Amino acid sequence: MSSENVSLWDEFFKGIGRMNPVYVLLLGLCSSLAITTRMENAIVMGIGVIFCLVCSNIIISAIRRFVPEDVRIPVFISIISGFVTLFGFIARAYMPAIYVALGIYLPLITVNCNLYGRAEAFAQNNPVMPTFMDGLGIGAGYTLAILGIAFVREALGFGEIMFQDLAQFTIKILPFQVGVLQQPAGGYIVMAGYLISFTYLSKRKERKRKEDIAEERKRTMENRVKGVN
Amino acid sequence: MEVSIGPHIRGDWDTKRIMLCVVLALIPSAVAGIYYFGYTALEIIVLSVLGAQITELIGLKVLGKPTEFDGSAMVTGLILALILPPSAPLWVPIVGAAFAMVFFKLLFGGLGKNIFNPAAGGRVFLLLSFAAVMASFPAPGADAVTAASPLASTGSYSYMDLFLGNVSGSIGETCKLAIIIGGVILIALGLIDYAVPLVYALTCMVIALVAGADSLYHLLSGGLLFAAFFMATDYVTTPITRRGRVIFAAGLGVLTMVTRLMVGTESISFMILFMNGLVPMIDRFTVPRSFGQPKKERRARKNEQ
Repeated sequence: MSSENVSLWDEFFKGIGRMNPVYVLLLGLCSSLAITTRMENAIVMGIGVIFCLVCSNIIISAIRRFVPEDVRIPVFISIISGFVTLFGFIARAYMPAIYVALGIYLPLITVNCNLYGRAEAFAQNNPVMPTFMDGLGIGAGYTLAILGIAFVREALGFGEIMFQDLAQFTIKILPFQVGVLQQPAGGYIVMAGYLISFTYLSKRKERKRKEDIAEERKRTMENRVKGVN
Repeated sequence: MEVSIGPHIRGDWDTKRIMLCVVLALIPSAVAGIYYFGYTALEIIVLSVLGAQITELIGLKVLGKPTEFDGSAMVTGLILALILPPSAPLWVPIVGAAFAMVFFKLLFGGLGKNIFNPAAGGRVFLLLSFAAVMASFPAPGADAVTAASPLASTGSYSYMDLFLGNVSGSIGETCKLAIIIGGVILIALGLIDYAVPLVYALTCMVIALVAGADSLYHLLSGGLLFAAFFMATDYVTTPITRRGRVIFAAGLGVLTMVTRLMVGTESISFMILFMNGLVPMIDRFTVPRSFGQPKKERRARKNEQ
């Protein structure tokens, strides 16, 4: 039981760190650039992706033995688009302002590479429980990634964090606005900054790991030599 | 394939010397800007140059590259200051210069590897971010009076005022006499190709003529001449061959005049960045004929196919 738990949590956490969909797999970049002008939009977009990803992942994983290889793509797409449409209706009913702000990017969750990528790469080959955790993890990773971009863009670009729909408050952060961050170019700049730091950190980690392995090997060799002597 | 025209022998003109000569050529414009717009223009110029220089020093240290002074950051800072409005608050040149150096030069790999003109990039960043402070131009000699720049109120200035720079505009862009002096210095030293400003100016004038606008007025207003001499001739971000440079200048002229006549505002910095992006393509289509290769070989081969 315990070993199974560990591996399930690993499925969850890999989506946030090691296999972060935006910063490591570079999937779903279009929406992460487009809807990150406001934190609020990013939260709703993140919830939408988590919801659609988890639900469609579960279904795809559950029916994976009955879907013929040749028609898997239309099957996956119809399942995903069903949930996206559902979420679209929910958002339209309860959060009309955000629904308008997200615009085309909400229906476009259907073709978000993350959803199809997880269906193809994970859900169709794995049982329901790991698939559920994988979807949750990737969705959470995506949400955290776009929240990171949206925070920088809103805090610096508008000089304030403003919530209108989910909650109602405004936090003043800067006395001025860096207007370029409200625009698409700013999205690219912020995302590039995150990508640079993410890549730098993971490279450093990798290097450290290799050094550790080399050190370990050296030590065992020395021990072995000592043992022989 | 790398395109580079021969001869490939190195002369005694190193980067530092060239950059200091460019600074020398920019000094008339700077002096004219200080003369017309007063002490604030001097402050902006100093802060911009210092901002660029210090940012480059820190950036090179962080990247672990040699931090030898080569003057290129100074040129970027100076050009950026000269295309800023004289009424800009003092943090504007510092922020702009730092952004230009980090995002348009250091992150691309430093001098020689930046595909976009850093000064133009810095100005575009400032314009997109702080439109309010970047779009107000004071009248020369006055502190608080904002005047319409010549392009915004066509025909309200005499040619002589435009030529001498007694109009509102960016610090170094108003005095055409000083710009031309600087440009002539650069051409006389053989540092820039006279074809670039010539083609650029002629393209603009012809388009203005065809469109029924006052072509001399267009030539003498806005940042056209400054960009022609100091930004369209940047070594790193413009094509290598003369044919390429002529295409570059002509394209720049078309874009400049199209935005002036159809949009009504001027945005030469945007156009410089746009044409910078096309440079690799221009370079690819203007590979010079190798020595000994027949002139019509390429065309003949095309016909065969």
